[in-house]
Amino acid sequence: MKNKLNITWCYPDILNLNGDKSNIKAFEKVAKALDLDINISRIDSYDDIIDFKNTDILLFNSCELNNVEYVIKALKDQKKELKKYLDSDKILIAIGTSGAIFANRVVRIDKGDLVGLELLNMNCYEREEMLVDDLMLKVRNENIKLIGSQVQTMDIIVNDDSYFADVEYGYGNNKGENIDGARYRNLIYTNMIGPLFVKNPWFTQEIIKLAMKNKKVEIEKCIDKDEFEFEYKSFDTIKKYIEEK
Amino acid sequence: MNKIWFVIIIWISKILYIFSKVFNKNICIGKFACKMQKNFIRYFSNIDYNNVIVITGTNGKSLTSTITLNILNQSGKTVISNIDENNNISGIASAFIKKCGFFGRIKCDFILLDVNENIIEEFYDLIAFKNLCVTNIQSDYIRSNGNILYRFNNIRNIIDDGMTLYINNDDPNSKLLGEELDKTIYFGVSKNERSYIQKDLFDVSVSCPKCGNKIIFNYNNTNNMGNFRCSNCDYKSESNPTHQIVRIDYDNNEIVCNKDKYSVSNIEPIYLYSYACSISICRNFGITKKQIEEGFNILENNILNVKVRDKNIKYIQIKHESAESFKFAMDYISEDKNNKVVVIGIDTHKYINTFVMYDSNLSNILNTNIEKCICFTKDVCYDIANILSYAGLPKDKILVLNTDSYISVFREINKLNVDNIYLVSCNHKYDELKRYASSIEKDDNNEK
Repeated sequence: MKNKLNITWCYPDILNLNGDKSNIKAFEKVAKALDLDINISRIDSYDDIIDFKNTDILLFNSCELNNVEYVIKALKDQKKELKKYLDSDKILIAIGTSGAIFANRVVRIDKGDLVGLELLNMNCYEREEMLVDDLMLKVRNENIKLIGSQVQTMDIIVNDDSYFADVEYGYGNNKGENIDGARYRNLIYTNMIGPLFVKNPWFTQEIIKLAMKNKKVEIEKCIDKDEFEFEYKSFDTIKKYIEEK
Repeated sequence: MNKIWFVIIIWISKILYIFSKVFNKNICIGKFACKMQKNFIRYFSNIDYNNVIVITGTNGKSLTSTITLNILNQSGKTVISNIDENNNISGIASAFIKKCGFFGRIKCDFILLDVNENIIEEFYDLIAFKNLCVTNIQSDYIRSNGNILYRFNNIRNIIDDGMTLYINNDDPNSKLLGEELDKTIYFGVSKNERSYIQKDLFDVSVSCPKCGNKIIFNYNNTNNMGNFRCSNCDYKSESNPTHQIVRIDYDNNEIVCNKDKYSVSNIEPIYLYSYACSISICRNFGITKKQIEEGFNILENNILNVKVRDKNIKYIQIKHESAESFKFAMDYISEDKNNKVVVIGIDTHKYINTFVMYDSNLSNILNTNIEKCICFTKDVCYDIANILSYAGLPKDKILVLNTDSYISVFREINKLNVDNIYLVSCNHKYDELKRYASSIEKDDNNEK
């Protein structure tokens, strides 16, 4: 019997900008390559309750900033269980603007400020203008490089040292700091779209292995480079493109 | 003084325009004029704002503008339009300069403009037009600032009581704009044999612009466009839009809008909303059904043909790299059940911009006979290949060429015993293809 990976895809109709819906397909593809069964559950409605016990990865794709307050409101009642989930080192991925859901404060331009779920020690500040560029990262304390894009509608200030990755090219959290995202245990927030997990299957693999390790299942197998030929070659090609800029 | 300077700029621009035609140079006279004078467009005179029609939105602006222009021309109206220019202020300025008198006086029945959502506020400040048509507001390729809320607000900020709005009843984001005014004309397309319902695990809808909950589409005619309702609040499509395409005969290229039957030259779903929108605009200005139909039937195909030796290449123009235009191209190709080669080339700009194409629903292409999909153009060729792979196309059907060169592309095409070839790319790749075809013909003639 195969081991099973349980992913909860959170609010997919609401959090679905910039091609991000393919992130879930990336998890499916990589899980299959690692000989894992995968169970994908959707949280479609703000009234739905997350089954934290039977989830290994919570996925929050990027969203319109306007929708952040609805998701915060929906999760507020589940915050205690969510904190317990994170404190047991289970995984939550937040991409792009959905990071604001987990921030301390979200400062809007023409609207009132929001209080986030305060699970990431950072504040978000809505930008006047959107910024778009390529993004190349090196995950902190790991030998993992990521390549993708960034569509930035907010600046992020991380209040402590808990950022996710170093920026090798691109904007990252804000002008000047050359850092990307934030992290609390395995709550990982990054600005990178692409989609992130499609374009970086080696990272998808690491997240899956981490999720299974949390369940005391060690996955020895690795993805085959030939099977993910397009992704590896895309990385090399775009890296060269960025370096030539 | 400003007016004198304006007139001088008009004269210089007109001379520049003649120079560009004679010497075949590419000069944007509107860009020049706008650089020379701030708010240059404001100084044109004799503009009847009631007859200025602005078409904006994410997808379908150009198509809707072209169809509407055809109709107005066919009905004997004089129209100034920026169809042949860009849809920014400079493009509009170019269009005005080319047609105005020597002192900047405009004389025409209508001004019809395709205007980018990002500059619509700036443009309204210069020309307070009274007719605003919004085709839709959707996720877009990033070059046009893809954030939906940003574009929605740009448009909402300029809506005023004196305007007539023409609004897509089947698009949740733009339909909300229609609620700003009483004088809104809604258009839509009914469920038909090519409508579909999204029920796959990986299908996603959109959020309600009013309450942030999920929008449920009763049916989809294209990506996240169709009769809808919110899963939570009472926001929904109007039950009786002013102009609704109620029936589509795909076999005979006929549509019925309200009770009027029209024969049309192109019947793909992407055209339907443009037809409905054009009917809405033209009927409001008293254009007859017959005149509208005549305008529909002179619409040229989006498919161009280029011959390279014995290969006939069908070139599908996609104006830009967006989920919807890419889907349109691939859906069109999937209608051809013959064995074929599909060549796809996408440009980068200042950054890699392929991520939105992962939103394209390409399922139709799997049911058609593809010998090979060749993904070319430097930097993004592997991304395109990955998009096709994620859509379900088997890897052995995908060939990647990390090159911009048609020489390499045709070397591969010639190895395949297929004469049915499609090229999907943007305009300047088509120009490159034509140049390549000419050079091949010249070489062949020299050899003879």
